[in-house]
Amino acid sequence: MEESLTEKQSLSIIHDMINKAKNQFSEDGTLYLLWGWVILCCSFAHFILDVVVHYKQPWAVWSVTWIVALYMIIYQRRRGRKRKVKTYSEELLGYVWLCFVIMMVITFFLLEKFVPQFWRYNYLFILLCYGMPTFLSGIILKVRLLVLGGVFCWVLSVLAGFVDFHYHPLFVSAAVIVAWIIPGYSLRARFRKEMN
Amino acid sequence: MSGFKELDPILHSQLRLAVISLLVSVKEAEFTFLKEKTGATAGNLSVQLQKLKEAGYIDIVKQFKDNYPQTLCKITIDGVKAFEDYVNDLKQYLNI
Repeated sequence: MEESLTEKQSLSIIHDMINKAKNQFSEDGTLYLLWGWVILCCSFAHFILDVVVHYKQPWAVWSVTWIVALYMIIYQRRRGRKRKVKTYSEELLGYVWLCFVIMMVITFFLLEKFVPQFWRYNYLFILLCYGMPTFLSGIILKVRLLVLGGVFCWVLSVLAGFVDFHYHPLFVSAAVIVAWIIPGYSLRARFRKEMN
Repeated sequence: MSGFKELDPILHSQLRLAVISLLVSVKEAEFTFLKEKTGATAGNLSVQLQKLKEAGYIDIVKQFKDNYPQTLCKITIDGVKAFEDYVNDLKQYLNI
């Protein structure tokens, strides 16, 4: 390994190794699919319970997300243990999603504290918040579907403002299909292709 | 070769250059990752990592993960600078 290198060989090594590191694509879409399907089911169930069944506490269905959040923490820890390399983009994505969680918590706190009948506006702000991490993830991972998904969330948050709040959960369903579920399957396909 | 700067001897070695090129692209990497990507033997890789560490180009952290020893490598600021200088010198040689 100590034999002398020509300049062209050096360049070739640099090129090969940077490419090998670049192909270290670890996003398999699992979390996008997991959350996409969970939120799709919850939002749709909320709509049915509220508008069709006229159940008094349709929002109770969202308590499922706590279990999913717990599962996600365990899943991420396990995934972290198996990881042999940490890329800059993975680190950045982690901070993006952390910002999202902080934004959601603060938004709900402020809505509940200062906005009368805040539940009328919940979903508008949820859609607004969804847009940010989805858009940025798309930019970081270079996945155009996620970028478009982020923009779609923002468009829906504005449109939902003109519609009766009972129908807002359907906007969330549409948002997660476009922003998370479809890109999630696309990420999974890309991951499997790169693994083979 | 007059007028040309001599290429950094620490980096001008197949395996050390491969390691630095990998580390410049990621935040940190395990020893097993570097071994897998470079195709080097564990013994040779250890020796070359030590040389890079002594030059101040990388940091090596040895720790335990799930009761197994783990070696993490990370490029330093000096390492990034040395790599950039090396690439610039290489460009000069190759007239790029």
